[in-house]
Amino acid sequence: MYREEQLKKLLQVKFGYPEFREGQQEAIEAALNGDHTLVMLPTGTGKSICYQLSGYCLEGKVLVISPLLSLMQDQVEQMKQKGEKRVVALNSLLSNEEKKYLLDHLSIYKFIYLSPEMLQQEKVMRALKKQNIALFVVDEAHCISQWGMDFRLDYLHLGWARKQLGSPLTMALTATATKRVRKEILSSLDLEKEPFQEIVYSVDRPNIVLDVIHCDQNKDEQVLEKVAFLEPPGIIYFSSKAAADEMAEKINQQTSFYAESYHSDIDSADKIKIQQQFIRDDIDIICATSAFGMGINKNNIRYVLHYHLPASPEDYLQEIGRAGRDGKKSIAVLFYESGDYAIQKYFQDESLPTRKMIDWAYRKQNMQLLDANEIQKRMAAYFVDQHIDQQTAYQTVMERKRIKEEQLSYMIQYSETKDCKRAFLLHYFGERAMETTENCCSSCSIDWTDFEKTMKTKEKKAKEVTKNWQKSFNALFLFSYF
Amino acid sequence: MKTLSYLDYFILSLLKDLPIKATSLFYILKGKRTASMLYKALETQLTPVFGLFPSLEKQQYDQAVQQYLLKNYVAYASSEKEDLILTQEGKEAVEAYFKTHYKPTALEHLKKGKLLMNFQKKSLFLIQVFSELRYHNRTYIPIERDYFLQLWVKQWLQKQNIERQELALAFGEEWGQLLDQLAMDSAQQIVLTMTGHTQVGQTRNQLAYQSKKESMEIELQILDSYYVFLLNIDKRPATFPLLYSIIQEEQSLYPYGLGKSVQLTKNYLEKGYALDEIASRRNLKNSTVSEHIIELAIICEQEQFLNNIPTSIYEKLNKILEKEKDLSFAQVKESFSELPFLWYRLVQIERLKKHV
Repeated sequence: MYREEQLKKLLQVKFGYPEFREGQQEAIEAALNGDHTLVMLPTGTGKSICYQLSGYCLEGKVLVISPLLSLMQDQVEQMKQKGEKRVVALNSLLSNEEKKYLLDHLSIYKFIYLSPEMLQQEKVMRALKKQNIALFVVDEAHCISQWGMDFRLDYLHLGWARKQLGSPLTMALTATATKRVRKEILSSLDLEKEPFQEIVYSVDRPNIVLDVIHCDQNKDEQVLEKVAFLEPPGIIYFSSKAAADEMAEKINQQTSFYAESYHSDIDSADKIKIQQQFIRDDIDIICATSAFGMGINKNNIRYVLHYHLPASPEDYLQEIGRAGRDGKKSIAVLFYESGDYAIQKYFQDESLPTRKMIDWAYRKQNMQLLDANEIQKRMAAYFVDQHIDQQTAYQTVMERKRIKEEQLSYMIQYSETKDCKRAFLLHYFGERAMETTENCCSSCSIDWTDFEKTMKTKEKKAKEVTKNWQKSFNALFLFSYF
Repeated sequence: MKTLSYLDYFILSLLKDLPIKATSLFYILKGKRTASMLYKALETQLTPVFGLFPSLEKQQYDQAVQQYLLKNYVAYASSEKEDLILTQEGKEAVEAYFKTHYKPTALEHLKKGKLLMNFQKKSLFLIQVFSELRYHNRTYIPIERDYFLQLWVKQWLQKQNIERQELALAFGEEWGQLLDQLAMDSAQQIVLTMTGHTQVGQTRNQLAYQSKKESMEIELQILDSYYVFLLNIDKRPATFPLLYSIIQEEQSLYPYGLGKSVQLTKNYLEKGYALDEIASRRNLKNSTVSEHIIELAIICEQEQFLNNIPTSIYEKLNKILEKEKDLSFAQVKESFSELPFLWYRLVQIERLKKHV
């Protein structure tokens, strides 16, 4: 058994941190004790260290199931940056030849990141069964739950896959799960009957001040006014790509800050550039859809604004949780307008198949011709492929719809409540707020001077781009002659 | 009426030489790799732009064509209202536009599109690796997350028998020489896209914003510059040994950027298998293999495919087409009842290539 000093030494050597953050050591010790764990730590508190460090202490491979491709890639790159070369990602971006190569060479890797759909492939399971799996990790485990914000059909197979792999030691991690979601994670993974520990910390991030601004047909002006006032870097979240593009343009034209938009239409090479420019503070503000931020390793984000209403309290906490990872005061502002509900409701409706679509899917068994979007088709196909009876399929969709409506409705109430915003959000997760502090939320009090841009920022001039290619090129290669 | 964009003028410029159906042009620009579309591209001399805009939307394209008609920049070539041609007014507008905008001259997208994309990715990644190496920095976020590209860089570096700092300098020098041969503006755009120790590369939109151009213009300017690089490297391999080795390797792995299935057919043909043998071995229809052969004849050298046509038929076909080059297959078949379509097409391709 590893002693505390040994774990700390490993933390320093592998990750460069002298001390554990709250919950990390507890999670690692539980895993090393052979207990399955459900770890809930607030956003930005280093959940990945829990399984990565545990992995270093255990003999065998660490299998990490991760729901988002971009997140997976970020995590793989971050591990490589810290010197871990035995890390690989198995996902749908690979060609068949590449996948075959990796499956043939699995034995050389210590950390194997997988997208959940990979576990449904026979070849993948066959290759994994030959490995000694020391730790089975389910990242963003709330995706398992129907009641979670990002319910993923592929995650429903994880319990089965885990059994197929001989029920290895398991660690499920999340930052935002209600009691009900946590219960469902445990039962889906079949952890309840085995010795397990729940390591649950508050979802609250006290250094993030919560503000809601009510708008009346003047959201753009309000957002621009705040952007001009606040100290960057910051992220502004949107539900629509076009709105993100427009706001980035307005910020560039009307303020002294430099903004870029980031969403699924941006070419993947440009996405990496934008991320890196943001990390280096070359970009002040990112106007993004939810595609941005999950794996971003940037500690000094000072604010997160929401132009559109988030779909659920879980979404909101995840997104604002990207601010203030350095522990310094940061602010989250939600710009709310009465019509916002309808926009979000539209997106919700678009994410579930209608009764008519389900009928069609069961009757024709051919999703290609189904008049629906890709998400709706995927869900309908899932019901048909899994031979789920049609009535259960309707009920599942209706239930999901109800849950989504409840979550959205909670966000409306959050926006409108005159009570403490923090207490209201925490109540959703079954938590009580600590005593109201100064700089808590817009219902309590906010000291705006904490967030105002500094003199240095005010004087910041637009970045000059040299017209002389030789100068930039020589700098890249330390040349003196081109 | 909507102001035309850079892409609009670029598309109009393609209509300059030969009439073409609007739909055919759309599928050529999208890169629909069927034998008939490839032939159409060859016929209309549009192979350099084949597959240049894979994400072009049909609806958006159709609306654009309507705009060109409304502005009287294009007209139908005949009363059947099928083929489009550029009008005199259109020619003047295109000419005036490209006096102040970048006009690509070196594109060769059908034959070299894939090669160019891979070359661009690999060399930009190597620039980052070497730049960080020059600064002795080992911890940085790579611009390429593709595991196999990272693996390729590792293996490529291991293959070079030069000390790493020297190698970085040599690689940088080759790039410097390439850039030196470009116009100042183009070289500047390329350098700004590079990521290394001292800078993060700019996106197309950022470059467009700074230079007050449309991002499509920037995109084509950069792409065209890379095609110029390929030409220069190919002309003087001794001056660019490192970059040349990357291109050579890419060409041997993916000759002419062919798809896997066509490549397999090519391998069988090179081993001397006949069309029906290939079809039965590969469990394909004869017509599919025929399509592969047509594609190969268009993209690669085609003597080997013509060799299977009996000399008498080959000569007779040539004579007929010499008299009337646009004779359809049905018309030609009146004189050759047993003529396979493949032979007719192969002779047509040869004639077109000679003509070009």
